[in-house]
Amino acid sequence: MSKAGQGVQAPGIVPVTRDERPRRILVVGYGNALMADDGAGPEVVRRLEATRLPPGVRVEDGGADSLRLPGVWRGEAEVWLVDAVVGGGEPGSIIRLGHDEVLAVPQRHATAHALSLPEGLRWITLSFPEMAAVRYRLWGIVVRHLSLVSGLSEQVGAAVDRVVAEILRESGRRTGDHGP
Amino acid sequence: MSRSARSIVIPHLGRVEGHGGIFVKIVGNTVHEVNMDIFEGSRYYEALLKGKHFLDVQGIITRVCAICSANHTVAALTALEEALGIPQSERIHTLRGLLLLGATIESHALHVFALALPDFLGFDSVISMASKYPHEVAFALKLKQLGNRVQELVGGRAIHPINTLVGGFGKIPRHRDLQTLREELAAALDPLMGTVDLVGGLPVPAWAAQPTVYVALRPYEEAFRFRGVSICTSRGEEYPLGAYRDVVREFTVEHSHAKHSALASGETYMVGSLARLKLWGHYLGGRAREAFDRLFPNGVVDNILLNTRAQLVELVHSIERGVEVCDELLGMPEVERELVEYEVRAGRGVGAIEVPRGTLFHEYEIDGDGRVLSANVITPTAQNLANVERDLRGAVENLLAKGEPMEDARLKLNLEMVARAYDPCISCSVHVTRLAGE
Repeated sequence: MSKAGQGVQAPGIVPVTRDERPRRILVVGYGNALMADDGAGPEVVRRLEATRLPPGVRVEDGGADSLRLPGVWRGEAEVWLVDAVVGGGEPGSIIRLGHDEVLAVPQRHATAHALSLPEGLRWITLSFPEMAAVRYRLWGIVVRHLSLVSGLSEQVGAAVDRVVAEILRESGRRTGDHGP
Repeated sequence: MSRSARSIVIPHLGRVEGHGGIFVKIVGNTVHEVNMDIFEGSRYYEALLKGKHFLDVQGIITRVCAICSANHTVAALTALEEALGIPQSERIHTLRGLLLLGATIESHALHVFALALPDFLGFDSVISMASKYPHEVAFALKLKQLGNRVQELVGGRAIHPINTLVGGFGKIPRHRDLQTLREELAAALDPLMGTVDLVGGLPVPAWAAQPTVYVALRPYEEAFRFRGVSICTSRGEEYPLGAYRDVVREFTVEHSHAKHSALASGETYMVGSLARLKLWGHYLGGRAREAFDRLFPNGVVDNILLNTRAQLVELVHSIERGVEVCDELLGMPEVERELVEYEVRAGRGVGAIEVPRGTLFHEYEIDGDGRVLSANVITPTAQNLANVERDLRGAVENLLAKGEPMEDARLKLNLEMVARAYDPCISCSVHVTRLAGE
């Protein structure tokens, strides 16, 4: 049996220091803001950052690399993901997947640039046992167009509003904080 | 002899960065047409940079690609600093070297283990590979993370660095963080050498072998390095960096959004890990030397499928060299930041560096106000595409020459292996075609 894989420190595991509240939920938005509706995930993160998040809830812009998740994870029990998706409904419709559903989505074509989010999560689960207990949820926003322009389509912009509201409502319910 | 025609179409090349496909037309046992179709949208970055202030160049050009963002950043800064007459201090030179090593670790770890190795081991993805090689699959992702950590520490961010500035760095990594990084890098060497044995035991098919011209930069010192002082070919030719346009002749092809390149003689060539080992492998030392001797017992021979082995050698080198560079930086006094003062002036500069996929060229001309008058970027993949097509043709011809019937599925997989072996970054290679009369 090869010795590969042993002895390399797993990055991203940072002990709680100043903020001793239990970390419950990490919300990560994936996408490229320069590619039209692919910017849906980062836009959700941007709007959440501008609000008062419930205690124990944190947000991160995941960019376009799902494999960086272990580097931004700080021990949260749940990771909620937001990403643009192609197909699956009318532009602006929202596809909600629970933990088992997210991890079961098949890889349509394996490319590094677009290593699918579920494929990336499966790889992460294999490689970082400390994240094996993390529960995932996905909000997928169906795109209208993808091209080298900034700005979301009207439909996707409206979907972003709905996703932000849902995440705030559900994270508040989870943490017992229902906002001002 | 049968003259039946068949077309092999791979509409979307899997396990590469970006969007491209392969088309091969065979009549009887003759290859009539080979196209690597790049349908990734044109990026227009060179045109976007015209009129921009030189301080904006880095933030724009780094977004050509996420995986290659640190490389484009360093090439752009090198070119701009040449245009402005800004010297690099030893610390800045060393830190940028560490950034490039981090980018190489990330990129090669991803390509070797997740994109190429499944081909050789008979799996369709890195995930399915985990059923038999769980440690290798887990280790690969941790190596990628380690490369990200290097880039995050030096560049301020794992993707699209923000700490890199014209003239230096906004913040110099603290010694305690460099020490931690050094230990992580050192700890990765032994497990990585375990994968060298695995890869060394895998057969490399001979049907992809083709006589090849290689191009790489001569290292700036007599050691294996990713920055260089001149452009060298495997035929013994050598050219100054400033003459890169005379060496790399770009041309457009109808079937591709990406330009192709050839030498002035019209010959296609290869840049990348295999090219670097061909020209400068004798400079390797330490564990990288061990890896090279294990993976290339007969030296570098012309077979693109060996590029994955070459990347693994460079992965070992990058981690070893990363430890050395951390030690060099730890030997320097700790400072908060380092930024050279300079005056804005008109000028032209070329930045040429060796990045994971080969030689990358950036050139900028700026006016007295610091505005960009012209920009030119030639990526490794753009240089390789013509040779990819040549290798695809050669592979099909070699396979057909065996006289054995080969079903399309098998032929497709073989063609994909050839294209994937180059580790093409199609996103980087797509540039707008200059309109006639412009």
